[in-house]
Amino acid sequence: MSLLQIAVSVGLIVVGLLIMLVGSIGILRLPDFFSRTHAASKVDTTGIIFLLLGLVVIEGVSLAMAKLLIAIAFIMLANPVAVHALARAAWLRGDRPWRKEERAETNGK
Amino acid sequence: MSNDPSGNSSKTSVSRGFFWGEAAILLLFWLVMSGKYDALHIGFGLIAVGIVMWLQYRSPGSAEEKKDKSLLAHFHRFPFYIPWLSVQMIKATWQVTIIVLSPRMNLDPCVVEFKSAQPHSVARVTLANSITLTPGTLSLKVDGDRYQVHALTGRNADELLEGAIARHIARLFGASGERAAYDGKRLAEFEDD
Repeated sequence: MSLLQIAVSVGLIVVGLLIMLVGSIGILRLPDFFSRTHAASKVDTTGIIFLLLGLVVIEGVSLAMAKLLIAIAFIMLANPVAVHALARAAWLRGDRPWRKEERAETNGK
Repeated sequence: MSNDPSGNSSKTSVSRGFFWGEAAILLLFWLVMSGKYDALHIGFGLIAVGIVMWLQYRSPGSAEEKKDKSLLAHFHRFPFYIPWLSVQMIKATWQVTIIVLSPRMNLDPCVVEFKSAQPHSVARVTLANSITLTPGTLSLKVDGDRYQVHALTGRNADELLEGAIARHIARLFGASGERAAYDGKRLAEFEDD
């Protein structure tokens, strides 16, 4: 395993972890279900993909690499579907998104 | 659709090509996942592939889609879709990062609705997935051609209604991209005032 390989994979994994951290902070900080779902869908998907790409670089060309690439493809396909199912359920149940104006009103009181 | 006998036979050969192509992809998937190449394990693989193919072909509605050439014909465009989607995802992540880490989170959510003419159901699903992964938008509901989408900021909503994403997906599946996004509007109770 060359030094360059280790450096690149560590870089990718650290970036992936930071992205996941941002996603977690987003889920805590954002005001309502829908905007939190934005953080959970895009950010977490990108973070996991960076992590797995880091593992791909460590692994080099092998069967495990092929499995990791299949896992990445599956996550890109399945994550948005799962998130859509959640958002759709909330939307059809009558949950309505948080709005900026409402905050302005409560702050004005 | 041509109605001459030769056209008919090419239709069967297309669906037969689909059948074997799908079986080959499934078997390849099995081989990669199993990693053991002796008669016993490959035999298990063949049985599993057989069961999956049987389950899939007896499910209603699959027969028509199998005959649809347009699905197979545009597979070669997928290599262009993955890098485009990756760039969109990184942009989306960057935007959420900026919003989440700024002390005053600068977001102004709204819900928009638009219609999109896509060639078939796979394209519609791809569009809904792509909307969720592109910057600031989240698909809430897909009903035929009608899409309801939550957007983090007004700018994200406007960009979506311009229709670049929907056009990209329609072209990916070989449609002209005309009427890829029309009748776009913000939903009444969320109108900007």
